Amino acid sequence: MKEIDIYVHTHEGADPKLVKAAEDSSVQQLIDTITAASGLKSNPDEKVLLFLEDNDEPLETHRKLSECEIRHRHHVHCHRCHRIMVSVFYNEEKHTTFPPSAMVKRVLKWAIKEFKLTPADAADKILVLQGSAKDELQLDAHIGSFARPHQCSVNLCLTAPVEVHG
Amino acid sequence: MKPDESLFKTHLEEAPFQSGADSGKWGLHGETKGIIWPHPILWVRADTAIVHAGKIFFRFTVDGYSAAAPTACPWDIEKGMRLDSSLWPRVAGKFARVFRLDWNGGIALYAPCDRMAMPGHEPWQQQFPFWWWQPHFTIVKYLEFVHMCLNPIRYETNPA
Repeated sequence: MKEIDIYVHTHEGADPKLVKAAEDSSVQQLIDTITAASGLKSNPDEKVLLFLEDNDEPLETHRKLSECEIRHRHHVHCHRCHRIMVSVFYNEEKHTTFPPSAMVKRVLKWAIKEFKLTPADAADKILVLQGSAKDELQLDAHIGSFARPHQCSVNLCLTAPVEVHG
Repeated sequence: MKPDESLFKTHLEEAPFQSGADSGKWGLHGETKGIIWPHPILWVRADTAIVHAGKIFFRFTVDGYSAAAPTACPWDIEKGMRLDSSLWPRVAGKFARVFRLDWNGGIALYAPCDRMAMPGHEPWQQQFPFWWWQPHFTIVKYLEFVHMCLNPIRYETNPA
């Protein structure tokens, strides 16, 4: 049985973790492996979902990883929420929903368009967690990593970093 | 092997570094066992408008890692020496001065996560709290910063 490594993103921080799984295991078996090692599931009846990176719908749990095109070192997201309500503040508030597996770069592009920024104005914009400027969202991170499993929402600010100078 | 070298090599094996390497954002030049401690050489992908070759090598100094911040110098991998000033990245915008040549002899990056630049720039701790080096950081933080500077997002059209 061939074993593969999968990058797993959860609500426990922006960095993925490498999880080993048998190539012919099911989505549910992978979810069980992930939840056993995380605080994702507080009781056995809670439903936990698995998404391919940047895919909108969760995978069917009876399917094998190989059937879902999950290969060695692919990225997945495991979360309790089906959708994350993302609110972005930039003079005013705009909001929409994304799957937990949506990459931050997708959210940033949506915000740039929603606030109708020119390419010049958009060039240096970043997203930070509201009320915590030190938590800058990296473009490859998944938006679900910033939403607590029981909240399914995240509040962000669109901002620009200060210039590096002495 | 001393603790700093052991920890550095452990971080190279972990998911955050490996994920970036798999996606072509950065990588270690050569093999882990070939590192001449404390000077690993790593490369970072760059926009070809900033670095013609599409990637740039850095010779790091990471003794005392990760309690001490790293420092890095753009490196000519073929000549085994500091990259000629004419080949240093030309970055525009708010991170233009990261690759400044008129500071400290052009041997390190003018960055809030670089050990050579941090002393005397304590206000950066408030201005760049995400990037100001902390002992619990890994080399990935430094690489993320450099990658961000070298790969600005380009929005080619005005939003509808």
